[in-house]
Amino acid sequence: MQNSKNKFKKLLVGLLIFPLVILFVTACFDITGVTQPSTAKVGETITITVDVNYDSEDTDQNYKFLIFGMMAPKSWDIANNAVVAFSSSVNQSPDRPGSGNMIADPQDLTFWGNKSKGSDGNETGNTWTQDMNAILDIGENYGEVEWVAFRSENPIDASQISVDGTITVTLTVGDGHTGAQLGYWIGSHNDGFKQEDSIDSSTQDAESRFWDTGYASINITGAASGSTDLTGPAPTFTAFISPEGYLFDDIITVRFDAKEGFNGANTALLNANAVHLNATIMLGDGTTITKADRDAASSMTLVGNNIWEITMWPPGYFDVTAGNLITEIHLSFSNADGSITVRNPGYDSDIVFGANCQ
Amino acid sequence: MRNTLLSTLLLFSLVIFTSCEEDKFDVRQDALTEYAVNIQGIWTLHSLYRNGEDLSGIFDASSLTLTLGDGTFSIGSTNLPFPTLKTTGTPFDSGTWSFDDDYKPTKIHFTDSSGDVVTNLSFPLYGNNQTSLGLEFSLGCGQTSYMYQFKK
Repeated sequence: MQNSKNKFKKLLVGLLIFPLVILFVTACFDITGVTQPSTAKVGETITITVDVNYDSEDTDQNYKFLIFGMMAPKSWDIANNAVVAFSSSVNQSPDRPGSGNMIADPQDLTFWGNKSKGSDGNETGNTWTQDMNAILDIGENYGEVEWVAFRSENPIDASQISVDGTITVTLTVGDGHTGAQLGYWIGSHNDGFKQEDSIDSSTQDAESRFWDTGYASINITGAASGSTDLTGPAPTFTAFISPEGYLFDDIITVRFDAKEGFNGANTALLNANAVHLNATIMLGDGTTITKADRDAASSMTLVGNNIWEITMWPPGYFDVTAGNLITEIHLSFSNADGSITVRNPGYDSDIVFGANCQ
Repeated sequence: MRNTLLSTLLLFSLVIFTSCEEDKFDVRQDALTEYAVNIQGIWTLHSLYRNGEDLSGIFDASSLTLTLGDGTFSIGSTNLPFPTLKTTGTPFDSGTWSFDDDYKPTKIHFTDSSGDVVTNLSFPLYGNNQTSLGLEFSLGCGQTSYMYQFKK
């Protein structure tokens, strides 16, 4: 009988301690710094370092894959373009060192190290890259970016240590954008996207010590005409310029669709009796010329269901002096008396177009 | 044998006779003379197309005049583009002009001290008395082309 009581006490103590063991069998990741160029040129090879502090929190962390994520413009194709490596002073098991190469997500779910884990710490059935794009936000970018996961080539023995390490990314800057915010994620295959607080577990930005994120912006020079700044206003369907390929020496047609407002709503100029173009051009010498007179020349023609057009030769329309290059045109639209003006829906700014010629 | 020999000689003599016959064609000698194409005069824009789309109704096409003199040209004041008026280079509205071939031209060169702008002709030109002049060109972006048709 006494023996049975002792067994019950041991079981009770074990049950009480077990959750505590689970709680402390963890590891902590912090991104302590990101070093990336503030400006880079299309086609240039750049190196980015992400400093990481790792703490095993006095636990054994053997046979753990390091998982790194990077968010970049889709046009950069970093899955095939970026070379990623990690380094640290960890070398507890020479066959499982704390430095080495990282491989782009193999997306082979038959291998245990490639299986992502969600906010509850359980396998989601997805790859790391799939879950990064589903769970993580895209920073200040309006879109057109992607998260790509990289996994340490081999497992690591990082037991009972606290150490600083570095992720090094080397990549060639792609075309298509004049600016972007790049993102970084660090964690391990053991915990994945696990959240500490179950209440916050459904929140993308919930803090977790099992992983960490960092973001940094970059300006890109030498991008092709028509490239967009991903940290600026998103392209809009409210206004459109044709033909498909144009320089500002071309005859251009500006189309305004009064039905294309913010988040699918109509603009305030829906069913207007008249619409005028307000336009400012940016010149190569840094000066601007604005025409917002709501005069006959700026009057747009109704060509469809709340669709208005105006066709112009910009050097003539704006009376540009000889040899001055037009670099951008900024547009808004007004009714006849100017009491209503539609700008870029969702932003308090004009709709901006650059030349678009491939 | 003798008959065969006579037949052969007769046939041969016929061939010789035919070959020696003098050709007589009634061709005017001046019809073979090539004339240099002459397009001098004042041309007024009649229609303009962008990538095949007729924009004539949108602009007052007649506002663009092209005066071609004896080797010189000038463009009247206009709010329409012309190959020599590109802001990506140094625009000029007067200068000299020449054909790539004075007799069978396919291109016109518009030139001033800042450069030579080459424009394609839309259709062939022959001799004198031209009443239509077609120019094809782009304004820097090769994806977009224009066709101007001038009338005298």
